[in-house]
Amino acid sequence: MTMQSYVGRAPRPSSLADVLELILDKGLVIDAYVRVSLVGIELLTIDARVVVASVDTYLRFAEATNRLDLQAASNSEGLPQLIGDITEGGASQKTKGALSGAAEQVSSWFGGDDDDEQNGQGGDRENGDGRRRRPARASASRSSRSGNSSRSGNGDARRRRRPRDDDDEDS
Amino acid sequence: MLCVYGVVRSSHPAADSGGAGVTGVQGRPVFVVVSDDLAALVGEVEGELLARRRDVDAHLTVLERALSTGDVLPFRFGAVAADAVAVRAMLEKSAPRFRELLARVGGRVQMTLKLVRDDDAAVRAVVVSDARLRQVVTTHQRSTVFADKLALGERVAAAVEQLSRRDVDEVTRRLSAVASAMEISTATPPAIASIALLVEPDRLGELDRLVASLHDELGHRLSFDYAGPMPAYSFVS
Repeated sequence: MTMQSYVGRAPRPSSLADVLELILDKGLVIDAYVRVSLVGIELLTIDARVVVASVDTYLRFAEATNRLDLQAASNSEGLPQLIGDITEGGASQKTKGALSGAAEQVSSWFGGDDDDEQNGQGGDRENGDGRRRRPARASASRSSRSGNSSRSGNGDARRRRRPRDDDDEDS
Repeated sequence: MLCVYGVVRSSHPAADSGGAGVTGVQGRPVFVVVSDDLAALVGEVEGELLARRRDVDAHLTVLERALSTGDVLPFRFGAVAADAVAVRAMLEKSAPRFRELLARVGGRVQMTLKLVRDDDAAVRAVVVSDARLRQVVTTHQRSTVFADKLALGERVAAAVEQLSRRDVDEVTRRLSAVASAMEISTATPPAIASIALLVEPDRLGELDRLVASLHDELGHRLSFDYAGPMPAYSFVS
């Protein structure tokens, strides 16, 4: 660490999503004489902002602990007796398999919109059961340019996903 | 229909040259509409705009060119007005606001710094530093019970979130020494924050060094997407 690293400075943010966030979300708008005239933006911004479902996140972090080399981690901390257990390879392999299986199951719940209508008990907690499924479908078909509704749906997309996470946590 | 890129003072070189030589959205030339001490950079466009890469880049390029020779208030992509008369009316009506904003961002540029977390490194950091969490991890790591895994993941995720909040606080605290204004927004994981800084061009070297030293300290668990200089998008709304 004697030599300071160089962090490259790019003229613009590296991902198109970040560039779009700047010029679609930020910047001056609009008064009586100037309006925003855009098509297809809803799809783009939803794509950029889909928030990872919390159940998915928890499973991902649980899985990340499996990749930890706790032996190395704990040598510095001195907890040797706990370590023998968890580094026995076979068992942790099995766990990992089961875990990714579970993760796949969860993602199929999130992905398969149309076949889980009966799971929608959370709908009464939310404003309008039918509407909250739309963003997932929209992002699944994001290659089509058909969307021309206003951008105001984006925030809702984020909010609407949450109740479904709760549903799945309950199960 | 006219697409509006941004507003400059009519003393800005771009206003002087009538925007000559710059190509904007839909490959159309950029020209200026002047009203008193203000001028709008505009271009003819047809139909509704699409946020296509080519046009998005053109919008940015027009504004970056203007920024390179003076102060500019960037408009949102897709802002349109019926004709030059409407643009002039906008300039007249909003003149006080434009003047005030030009004074606020004038002589400064925007830089952005996005912090992206390496989840594995963050998990390691929290488990190593917290003996109780490590105990929980070792107990439940092998469990195949779904609820156990969720509970473990939730604990770890909470600790990682906390670590990230501390990292963002530390980064912004240090950056505030160089920035004359800052806008911090949350980002989609694994990104933990998008920070926009308003900086005097003379201090960019100082900022570069600061970002590099932050990267030295936190680079093992955060990657930095550092960009600019660009027009002050985040400071004109």
